[in-house]
Amino acid sequence: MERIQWHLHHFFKVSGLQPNVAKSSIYFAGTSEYIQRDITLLLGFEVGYLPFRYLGLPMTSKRLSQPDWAPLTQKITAKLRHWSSRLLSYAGRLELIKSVLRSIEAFWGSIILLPSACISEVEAIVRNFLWSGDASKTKQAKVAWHTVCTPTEAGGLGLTNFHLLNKALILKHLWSIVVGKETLWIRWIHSKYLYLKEGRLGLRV
Amino acid sequence: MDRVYQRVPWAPIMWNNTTPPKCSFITWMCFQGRLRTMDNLKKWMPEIYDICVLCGKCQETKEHLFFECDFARTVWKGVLWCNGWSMPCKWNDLTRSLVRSLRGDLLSRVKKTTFCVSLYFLWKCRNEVLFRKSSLNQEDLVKSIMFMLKIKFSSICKVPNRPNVVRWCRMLKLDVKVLDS
Repeated sequence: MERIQWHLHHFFKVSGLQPNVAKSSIYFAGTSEYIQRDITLLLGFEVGYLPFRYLGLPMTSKRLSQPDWAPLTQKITAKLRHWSSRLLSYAGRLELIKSVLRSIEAFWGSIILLPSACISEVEAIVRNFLWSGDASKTKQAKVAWHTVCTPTEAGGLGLTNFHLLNKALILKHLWSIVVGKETLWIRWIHSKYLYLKEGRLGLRV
Repeated sequence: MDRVYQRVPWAPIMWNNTTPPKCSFITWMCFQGRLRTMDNLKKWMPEIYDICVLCGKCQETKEHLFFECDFARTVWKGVLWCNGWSMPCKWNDLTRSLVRSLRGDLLSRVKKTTFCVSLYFLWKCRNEVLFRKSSLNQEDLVKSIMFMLKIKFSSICKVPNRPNVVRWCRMLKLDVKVLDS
């Protein structure tokens, strides 16, 4: 711990950047209260608890539950409540969904494998918005959602299927693990969970 | 994840750079058969008055409203008049001829865009007559279609010296340079 503090101090001396005590917190796992108190006294950071939000995403050790993904739906509905998005034509709404909403979803989807309840909730908002112009108002959909979510060449509107998109984005991480991309977290996973035997990856039990 | 999509031949008609998105969307709904024409509405509202509001004679179907109706015919005539395109009379005929001419040259782009824009304005006109009780005016409709086309194609500055193309540019009053070939 003293070493960590020394490194932080060294970093401050070199770069002039200092950790903001008010904005930082420290998270413990498997440490006794006694040690925890010592460490907090030394570093001066507040103790934080799971779940918390990091870069807008929920950090939790458990399965994601409805309150955890509420920020996602809130963010999307906030975008749709604005007057300029309420006065759009069908095509305008479609473009807003494609460019703004899908990228918010993709940000979450690229890091977390979202529960299907979450995806359904988000898709319902998007679908309502496309057909009725209001995220909470359900109107009879004119074309089935799976047709809307097919590429334009295949007769759809070119929206991506978010279930598939989420899986594809997560597979990207799996791919980097398998090809052994040179990053810290992949090296850590390789050393802790995986072993290589006769050119094949296995899971350490 | 093993879904393989079947391509549809009509997709390039509406999804291209020169067609305004709102027109693309209405055309797309029309191709899906989900535009709320009276015959579609009648399926779950049997008591509805399903006579076309533009001519007041026949039942309003997708075929009728956009092609067979006298009103639509005059509009098409006004829009297509300069290009020597044959008058569309059947939905399938027209789409087939459009799909056949899907090349990247200017005239086929014009053709696709004209089709979508006219469809959109006809649908809009029908809705305005139906819900706002506005009066019919073919000339205004043709004018607004032509204006939309003019805006969309105003970035063209050079065209090949082909009689159809030149005639079309003159009709829209586009300021273009005709290339000698």
